[in-house]
Amino acid sequence: MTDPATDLPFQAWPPREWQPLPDAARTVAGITGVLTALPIAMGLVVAVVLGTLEGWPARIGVGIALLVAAGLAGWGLGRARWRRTHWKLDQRGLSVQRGLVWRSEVLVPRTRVQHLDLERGPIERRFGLATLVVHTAGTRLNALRQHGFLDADAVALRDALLPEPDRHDDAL
Amino acid sequence: MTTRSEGLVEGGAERRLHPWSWLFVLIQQLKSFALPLVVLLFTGRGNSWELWGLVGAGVLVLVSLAQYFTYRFRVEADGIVIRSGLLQKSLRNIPFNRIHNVALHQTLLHRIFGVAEVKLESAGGMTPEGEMRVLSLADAHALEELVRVHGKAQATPEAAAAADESRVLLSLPASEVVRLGLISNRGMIVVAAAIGLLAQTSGELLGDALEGSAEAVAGVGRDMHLGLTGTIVGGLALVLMLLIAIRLLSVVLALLQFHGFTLTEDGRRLSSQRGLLTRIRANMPRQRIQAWSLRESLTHRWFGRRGLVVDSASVQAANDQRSLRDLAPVATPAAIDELIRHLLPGKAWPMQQWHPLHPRAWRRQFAIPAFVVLVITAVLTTQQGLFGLGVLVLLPLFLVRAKVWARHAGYSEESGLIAVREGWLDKRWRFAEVRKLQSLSLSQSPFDRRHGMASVHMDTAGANPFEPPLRIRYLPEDEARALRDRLAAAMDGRPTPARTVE
Repeated sequence: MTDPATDLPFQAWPPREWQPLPDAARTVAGITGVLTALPIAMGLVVAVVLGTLEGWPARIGVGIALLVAAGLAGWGLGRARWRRTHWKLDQRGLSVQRGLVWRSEVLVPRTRVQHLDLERGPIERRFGLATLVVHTAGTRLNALRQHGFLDADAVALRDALLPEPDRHDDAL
Repeated sequence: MTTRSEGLVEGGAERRLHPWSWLFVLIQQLKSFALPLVVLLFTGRGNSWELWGLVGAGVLVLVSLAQYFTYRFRVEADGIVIRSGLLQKSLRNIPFNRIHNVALHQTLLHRIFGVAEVKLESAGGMTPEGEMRVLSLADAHALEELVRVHGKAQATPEAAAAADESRVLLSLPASEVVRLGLISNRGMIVVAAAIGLLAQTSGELLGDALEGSAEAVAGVGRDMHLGLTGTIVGGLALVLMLLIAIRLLSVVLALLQFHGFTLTEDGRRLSSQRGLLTRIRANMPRQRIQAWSLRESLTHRWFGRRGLVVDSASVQAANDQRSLRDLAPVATPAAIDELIRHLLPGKAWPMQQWHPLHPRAWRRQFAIPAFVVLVITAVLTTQQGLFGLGVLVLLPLFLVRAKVWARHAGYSEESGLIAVREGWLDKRWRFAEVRKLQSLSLSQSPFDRRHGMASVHMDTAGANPFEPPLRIRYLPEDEARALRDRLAAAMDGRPTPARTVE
């Protein structure tokens, strides 16, 4: 593995200790949390408000209040999830640590990487972030998908993890 | 185009499928398109829509027939080239060394015509690389042989030398297949499927049938003046007879599927052949085995037998019954251990030392059933009175279950093999070579964290969704981390061994 370019956002590459996700990713995680929470809350709110309250002003008022609460909860959860997410790249390969209640620490060894994808959704693009997807030949964990890398980090990680062209897939 | 008499040889001319191919393609098409429509027509709900559907199906049949008549293939030095398609032409090049499995499938009809369906499978992908419906049996065997020989040609000299001998690793006489039927509950699956189908298509019919049979039993009881006890005894006898009938059905199914099962080793390729009416032949290189699962259910134990299933790398293998999954459908523990030792040279099977889980692992197994029992007891007691407390009898049972489970559960890590065992009545061993692992994951649920435990999941390629995952639950957290680190080092550290073809 050659040493990658020098214009990386780290002092030392590869980062051997656990790295947090960038601050921009906290905002994105919050937004994602809100976007996930709202549609779920919407259905519940409509059912509850229409079922229990009389009169439109009260319905609309309580409905909006509940939606705002759900949005805030989503925002908080997204940010909490961001805080729990760390990654590192060492001799063994890429490790990702995440999960709020059910915690997991996934390790994909370098030699088991099949191919890599970089994905940039509209929100992530706006904040200069990217999602890295590491594919393995495995079954239950055939792709390790992590949102919220700085674009430069994601590209550097991809380059560092690219399978060597002369590698043989012994495991298969 | 050549005549059929010409052998299937490397560098030969382009070939078509067997002349009778159209018949089998037609049958296949009729099965998938026309049959449901015919059923609709006969159930009397036929109107113009279904007729149009029938016309559409007819067109589809014609189109697919035409596609099959444009199917040509040629054997070249390093692979097979398949050309197909009428309007949208496709050319597919399948290198020999990518072919994991040459699966031969012969139903009774195929056998009458002396032909076979051939599927060429490679790793990954949901559909086979090449599907030949149908080839003459001679051609199919020639193709199988070509793949085998090419696998050998590029291998190391000693492997090539070993490749010449072909030996039978396991063959099941009829008595063993009958045992397999008694052990497995295949009949129950069929009965359940039939009931499900009946309930879906005509719920009333099923209800009527059940009610009718219940009434008949009660009626017989009344007619014979048996009284309540007599009726209960009669009912129990009926249930017993039903169970026996289902086991008999299992035996019949086992005979149909596994009659004449033989597992042979041809150099580095394993091949199996089985089936009474429909004959299935599958093979794969030995080193394509990704993970193993050994099972000993209660009924297995009564007969002193075990069953061995393996995962291969191709995804479709898990769903397809014609792949080589059952290495040993049923055999004595000693025979299976011998087979595993033979196929995993240099590995210490059976494992010498098993490490126990966390000392409190049994509590984790006990907690959920105990909680459910308490909830049910509470609900029943409030609604039905003190009778509800009777449910509490289940608690000691679950306690024994958890204790037995925890005593048997464990993991072992020896000579490049990682193994997990679990179960109480139904015992299972799941193991894989460490170099075949794809990724590692350490996870902790909130309960794990409270007890200071963690689970290690080891992902392998082509893992069968119906087998338990290769994971070790309820490990002390430090031990889990240490194990994860050791496995990671073992996965990474060793360079690719002098590996053979691929």
